[in-house]
Formats: sequence, structure tokens, C-alpha cells
Amino acid sequence: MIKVNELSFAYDRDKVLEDISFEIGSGQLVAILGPNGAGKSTLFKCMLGLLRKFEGEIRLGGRNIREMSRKEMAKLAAYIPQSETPVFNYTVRDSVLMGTTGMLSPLQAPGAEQMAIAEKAMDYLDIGYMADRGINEISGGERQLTLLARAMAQKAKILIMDEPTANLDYGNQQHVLRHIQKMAGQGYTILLSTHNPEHALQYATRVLAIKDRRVLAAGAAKSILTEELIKDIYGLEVKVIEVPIGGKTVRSCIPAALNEKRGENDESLQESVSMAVVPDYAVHYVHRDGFCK
Amino acid sequence: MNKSDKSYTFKFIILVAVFIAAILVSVVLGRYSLSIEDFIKVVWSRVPPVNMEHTWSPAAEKVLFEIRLPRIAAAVLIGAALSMAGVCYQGMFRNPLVSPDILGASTGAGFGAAMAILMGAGYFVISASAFIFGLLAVMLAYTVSRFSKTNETLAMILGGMVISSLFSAGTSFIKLVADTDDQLPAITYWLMGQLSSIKPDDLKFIIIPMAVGMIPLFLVRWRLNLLTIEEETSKSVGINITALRLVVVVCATLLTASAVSVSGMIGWVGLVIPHFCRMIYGYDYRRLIPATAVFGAAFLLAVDDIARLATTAEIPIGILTSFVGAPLFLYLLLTTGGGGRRND
Repeated sequence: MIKVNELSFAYDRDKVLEDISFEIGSGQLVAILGPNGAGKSTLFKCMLGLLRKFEGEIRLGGRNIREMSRKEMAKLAAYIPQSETPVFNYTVRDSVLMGTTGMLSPLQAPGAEQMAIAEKAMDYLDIGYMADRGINEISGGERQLTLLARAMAQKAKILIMDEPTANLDYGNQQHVLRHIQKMAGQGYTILLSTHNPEHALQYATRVLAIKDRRVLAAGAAKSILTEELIKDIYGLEVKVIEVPIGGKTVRSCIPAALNEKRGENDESLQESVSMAVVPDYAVHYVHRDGFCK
Repeated sequence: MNKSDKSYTFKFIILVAVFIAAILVSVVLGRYSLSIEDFIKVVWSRVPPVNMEHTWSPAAEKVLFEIRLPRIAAAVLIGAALSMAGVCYQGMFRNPLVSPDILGASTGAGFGAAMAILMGAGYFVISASAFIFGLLAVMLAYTVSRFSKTNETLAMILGGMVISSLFSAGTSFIKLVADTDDQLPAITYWLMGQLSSIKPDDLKFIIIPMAVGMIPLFLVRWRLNLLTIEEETSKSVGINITALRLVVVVCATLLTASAVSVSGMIGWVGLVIPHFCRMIYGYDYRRLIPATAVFGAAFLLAVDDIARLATTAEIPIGILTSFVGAPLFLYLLLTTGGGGRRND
């Protein structure tokens, strides 16, 4: 469904992506992991045709995106932003209907057919009952589902999501991710970037790790998303844990042995600790917590 | 048809009724009063020329066709034009505080008019010069934005600000060198905005640019909604956002420049009529465009009636729009909550 081959991109002279290659089959839920500034958003912009001056090749649904018009691209791939801060209080229905605009001629307004598409998308994501409410009057999670519904209404089979849960509280994150998982089960190919490896462990079928402009690892989530990989991405020791829940094994991760490691290697931390060591009890405190050996 | 469609249709019918009533009231009221009966007869005898007994005085006919109807038509067109330009720019810049002169159309037109007055030009040349400089100012601002490397809309706003301040400095300079006995008052008066000097020829002058501005905006009104969301999203929905922006800039500029060129600067209308309409008719441009056009027309017509009838000397309408609009705006703000953002 998606094939990226030797993709490189630079803003003026700053290289942001180098030699990125990967392939994704349809129906996959791919989590893209990478530290801040790794180039995840740039990768998405290239794939959506928003940045055109890249080197290499991107194929969506078998077709080279350089040879497609914006309208043709819209039929293949939809974009879901991190969040939308709406200036105007459109109703949920109107917001979703906007997704159908690509299939209309410039002077056309959505008709009964588009309305039916929008209603179906809203019902699928359980937001049909709030169709007439303003998007400023609903919760962040509901707003994110509205953006998902808009992307569904666009009728594209590839959904590209830039940190779709970044601004949500814990409950809403899980709620939105579960809906995203449901959509992947329906044949949508989903790419989402996340800063939360737990989300990747719980929901992704594939993982693409990007660091320092390059692909660090790519493959099935189960086999490649290991403690070592997470350490490589974030420079952080973690423990991947497996918990049986309702007959299934759910994987997650927690930070581990952070303090010892930092005490050894992080000079700036040592410095700040030594500067902080003035009163006696502070020395005890530092020792007890294992900051210094 | 769902519930919101029905309530919209109902509210829109009320608006149209108010608008028609405003036209009839404006026809009747004036220093030379006319009856509705005379009005209908005169129009009937002229428009599809029907032979009928002249029960009205020739003066009535003259007042109606040379003074009152042109003025009503001008108020209607200008009110609609400024409101439409305002509502489109507010969507495009995703900022409800934007007014139609954001890209410098009004200040450009003001400069053009002031310069023509300084040169001692006649009435028509003043309008034409205002119109041309209004377009020129926006063209400059838009060109600046195309060459800029920052975000397209931000560059447009900054370009508009720079060009505006340049032209307003030019206007100030012209005021400085203008003859204080007749030119300076003429310029000052022109800049205040008024409809008292509208002539039938003015209408012929503005009707084409107004139509060229209004029709495309009306036709693409659904797409205008897509301007209000993030650019990346609207692009990936599959529309050519740059082309759409250009349509808005060209049309809104034609509307603003032609309005300002015959009426002078009438502020406030383009800024707040869109707000009134959002509070009453919602945010969808399919509804907002017709509603703002009719609402703006009715509003300016009503205010112009006050301008010409309230006192023995005419009050420039540019002053009155705020006096009338501000309390109305406050009332709506307090009763409807401004149409959203209650949670934030």
C-alpha cells in the first residue's frame, strides 16, 4: 500500500531525512517512533505531497505521488493533524462534511450522497449523536474523533496521523487509539507518530523507528519493539512488561534503572548535584536515592 | 431536511422580510415624502413601461429615480459588498477580528481619492482613482506576500499592514499640502464616508466590479469553509488552497475597492455584520454568504436612513455605523454568548 524508497529531504541545507526506505502492506497500524526533531512530521508532509522537493520515490497504492494531482492524492491518503484549534465553532457534522470536498467540483456543495458518507463515518466512530454540536463545545477526545471521521469521509484508505493523542488526557488517548485500531481492522492502512512507546506496544502491528534522519529499525511490532530499541531511540533504559488481560497478553513498558545510569554518565547532573550538596541531609538524600555512588 | 435546515430557512425568510421592509421604509421616508402607492405606480410605469394615468407629480418621479432609488441601491450594494468581503477575509485569515481593509484596499482607495481631490479632479475621476489605488494597494500587498518565505497568510497580513501604513502616510501628506479652504475639508469629508452624493452614474460604475466580486464568492461558498482549517489538512483533502485564496483576495478586493470608491470609508460594517450572522445563522459559509450579504445590505440601508433623517444636516454614515452597530453587537453578544467558545 505504501512504499517509500530512498527518500531524502532537506530544508535549504538542513538535511532532515536521509535515505528512508520502508514498505507497508494494507491494513497495518504502523507506529512511527523517534525523538523530537527526528523528521517524523517531515516524512508525513512528503508522503502527503505537501513537500515536493524530496529525493527518492514515494508510492501510495502503487502509484508514484509525483505523478498525482492533489485531488487524486486525496482519494488515497488523508491527514489527521495533532489537533485542530478551531477558530470558528462549526458543527461536528459540517467539520466531517469538509472531508468530502475533494470529491466535489469547485462550485459544488456536498449533497445527499456526501451527507450519507459523513453520517456513516460519524456513526462508525460513535459521534453521530453529537453531530449538531459545535466543535468548541465537545471534549478533546471527541474533537479528535471528529477529525478521524473527516478523514474517513474523504474515502481514502491510507490515514496519516501526526501524534493524534498528544493533547489528550489518559482516558481519551486510549479511547481514540481503540477507535484507530478498529479502523485498521476495517482495512485502513494507518501511520501514526507517537511519543509514547506504550501506545506502540499496545496497538501497533508495525513499528518504524527513526532517529538522526535515518531509519533505525522497521518491522513487526512484536519482534522489533524491544527494550534495546527503545533505549536506542530515547537513550533510556526501559523494562518491557507483559500482562495477561482477559486471555490476551498486553505489552507495555516502564522506565527502569534511570537514576543509576544518569549518575554515572551525565556530567551536568553530577555537577548540579555536587553544587546542591551543601547541607548534610542533602548528602544523605542523594546517597540514599542512588544519584551518586 | 433536518432541524437546523428548517430553523435556518425560517431565520433567513425573516431577514429577507426585514430587508424588503427596510427598502420600502427608505423609499417613503425623506424630506420629500412619497407614498408606497406612488412608488409602485411610478416603478410600474417605468420598468415595464405601462401607460397609466399620472396621478403623481413629476417631482416625485424625479426624486425617486434620481435621488432616492440610487441611494437605496448604493446602500444595499455597499452594505452587502463590505459584509461579504469581511466574512470571507475572516475565514481566510482564520481570525474573526479581520475587516475588509486588511490588505489595504481602503487606505489605498483613500489615498487615491485624496490625490484626485488635490489635483482638482471631478467627481467621477475621484471615484475612479480611489478604485484603482484600492486595487493597487492590495496587489502590492499580495505580491509582497508571494515573495516572502514565511507562512502565506501571515505574509499577506504583514504585507497589508506595510502597504496600508505607506498609503495612509501618503494620505496624511496630501492633507498637509492640500488647500485648507476647500480641498482639506473635501478630503476629510470623503474619508468619513457618506452616501449623500451618490448619483445614478455611480451605480453604473460599481455594478460590474461588484457583480464580478460577489458571484464567484457565492458560487464557491462551500469551499470557503475549508479555508478556516489548517492548511495541511485542507490541502490533503484535495483542494487547491492557493487558488482559492486568490479567488477570495481578488473578489473581496473588487468589492471593497468599489464600495469605498463611491462611499468613502465606512468602517465597522465588514467587521461586525459577519459576527451578527455567525451568531444567528451558524458558521457554514453556504448559509453565511447569503445571510451576510442581505444582513449587511439591510443594516447599511437602515443606518443610512438615520444618517439622512435624524438631523437637518446629514451625518456621515461612517460615523453612524459604529453608533448603531455597537449596541446591537453588545446585545447579541450577551444574549447568544457569541456563538461558541463557551467551554474554553
